Amino acid sequence: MNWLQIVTAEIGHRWKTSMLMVTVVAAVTFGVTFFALDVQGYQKEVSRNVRDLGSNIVIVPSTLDPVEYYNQGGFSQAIMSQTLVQELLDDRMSLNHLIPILEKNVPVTADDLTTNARVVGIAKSIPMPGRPKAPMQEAIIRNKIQVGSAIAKQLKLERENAGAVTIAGKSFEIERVNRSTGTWQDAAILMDLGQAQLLFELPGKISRIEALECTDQECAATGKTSLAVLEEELGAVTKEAVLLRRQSMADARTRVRDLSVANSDLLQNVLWTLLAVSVACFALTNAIGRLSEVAILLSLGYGRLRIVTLFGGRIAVLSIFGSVAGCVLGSLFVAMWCTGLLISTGSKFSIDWGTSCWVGLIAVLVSILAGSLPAFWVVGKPPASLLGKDG
Amino acid sequence: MVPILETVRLGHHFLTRYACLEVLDSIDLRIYPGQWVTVKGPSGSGKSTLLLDSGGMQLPTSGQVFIDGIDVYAASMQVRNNLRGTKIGYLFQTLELIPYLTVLQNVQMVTNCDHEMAKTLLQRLGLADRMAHKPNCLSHGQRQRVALARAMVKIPSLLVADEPTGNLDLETSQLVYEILKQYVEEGGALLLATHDPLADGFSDRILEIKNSRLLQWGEATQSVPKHDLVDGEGM
Repeated sequence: MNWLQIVTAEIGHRWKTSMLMVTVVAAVTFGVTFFALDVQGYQKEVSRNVRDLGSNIVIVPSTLDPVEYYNQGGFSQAIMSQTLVQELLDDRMSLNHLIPILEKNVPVTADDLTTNARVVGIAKSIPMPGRPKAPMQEAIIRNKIQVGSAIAKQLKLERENAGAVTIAGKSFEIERVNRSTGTWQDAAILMDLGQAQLLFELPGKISRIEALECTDQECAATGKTSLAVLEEELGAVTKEAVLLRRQSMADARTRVRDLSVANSDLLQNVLWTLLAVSVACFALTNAIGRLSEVAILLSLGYGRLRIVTLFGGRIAVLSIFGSVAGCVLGSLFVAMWCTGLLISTGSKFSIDWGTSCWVGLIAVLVSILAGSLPAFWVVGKPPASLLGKDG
Repeated sequence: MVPILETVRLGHHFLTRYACLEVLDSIDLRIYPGQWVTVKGPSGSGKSTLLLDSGGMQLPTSGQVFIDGIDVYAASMQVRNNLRGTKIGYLFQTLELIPYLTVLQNVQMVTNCDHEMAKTLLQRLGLADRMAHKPNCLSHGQRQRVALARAMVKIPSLLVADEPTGNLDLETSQLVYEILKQYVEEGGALLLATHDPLADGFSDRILEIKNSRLLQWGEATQSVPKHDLVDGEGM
């Protein structure tokens, strides 16, 4: 008889405990798969949310007067060359999501109403090469503008059918009126950067570059603070710009992200341990309950390898069924759950089948190991010492 | 001639919480090919222990067991497994059939099993119509015959049978003994433990365990001289 015939016969004979084994493995792999994937989605969501807090690094011309800049709520007339953006990219600075901005305070008119607005030419965020990310800032359509809620209120613009606004003698169609954010952006009009440069006759010039710091690795490697790392990197690229770090925002972002990662890691470790211990215990119990069979096989001249193959084979067959079921169901359920739960990233949530496969594989390996171990352990003992010793 | 089984000063005791129970004491025994040796004795006298120790199934407390010249308990695990797989056929008193295999599968799962031989043996033992049944569908007597078939199917050099007819009717017992007789006549060596007087007529030697010692049956007060036991002249 080959081992598969014996294993199949055994599974059929003990179908209740076999089903229980499949159910336990399925339930545990379901749970681990679900949480492992949920944690991935959760981390992405946290990452997106802290990113959406806004840029925490501002690179401004070195000629900028900080007092004037802060007095005017983060605004300055100072400008610098846009080529700096490319230089930062070429130098692989520890930044991402670079957003070049040119802004001016100018009067704007809609119908007969006029008010002063902060007109901001802004480009789509530029990812650092090798660090591709979903854009933090989308491009603004040329010849169209986005109007802040405070400006819209002063110019009596409606959210629907807002019409057009004249800026520096040129009329722009309103793409949309933005909802109030409680920031300076409520008093701003956003337009395409290139178009703003033409409008203000400042080709190739920008007021500042906003960005997100990505200094974790550098800080860990050098022991320096994030600000020190960035200032050192920027100093190597140009002397015509300086760097401002929005301290509390940057620290909050780092703390939230680190906490999220640490908590997720802890949860994952607990889950992996749960997977290993529960499956191992069950497989072990199953195997210990069959010591008499080991004795019979030994008395018939079966060697260690054949006996371990029989015990491991049974567990392998059952745990494969269980883990496949658990991983597939866990993946599908987490997809359903995360799509609704994760507001920012849920629509893009995709099942990480690689992680699911790892969970399943480890469940199978742990089961086989735990199921084979007792047989491996006792196989050198005299058969009579095992008869009637089923645990 | 080399004995197929030889025990040298074989001893076995069981330690309990309160006492040391000595079951076998310095047993010297030789069994040659073509010999039927029956061991008798009251329940608990140590028959099964002697058979388990002699058949390579249980580590004795002292002494040595040689099967076909190989010191069973000094040999490596692999050698011991090979001995069990090729030279020893063992019928446990508790039968120990695999419950999820059919009668035929229980016999065929023996290593190096001749599948036709398995069927023939089961037919001879009156189990032709039971081959596809599981052990739990059989009477104890039928299970006993399945266990015997499993022990004999590889035609071992040494067959150790512990109460093979304990639950059989007279007619079936006779049949079993006839089959065992044929096995011995064909050169097999049989070590049998039984209470069944029917076995006496088939045995070449009958021994008895009393007070931990192996005695010539019927001479219970006197220990059998060693040369009688080892040379098979005690009958």
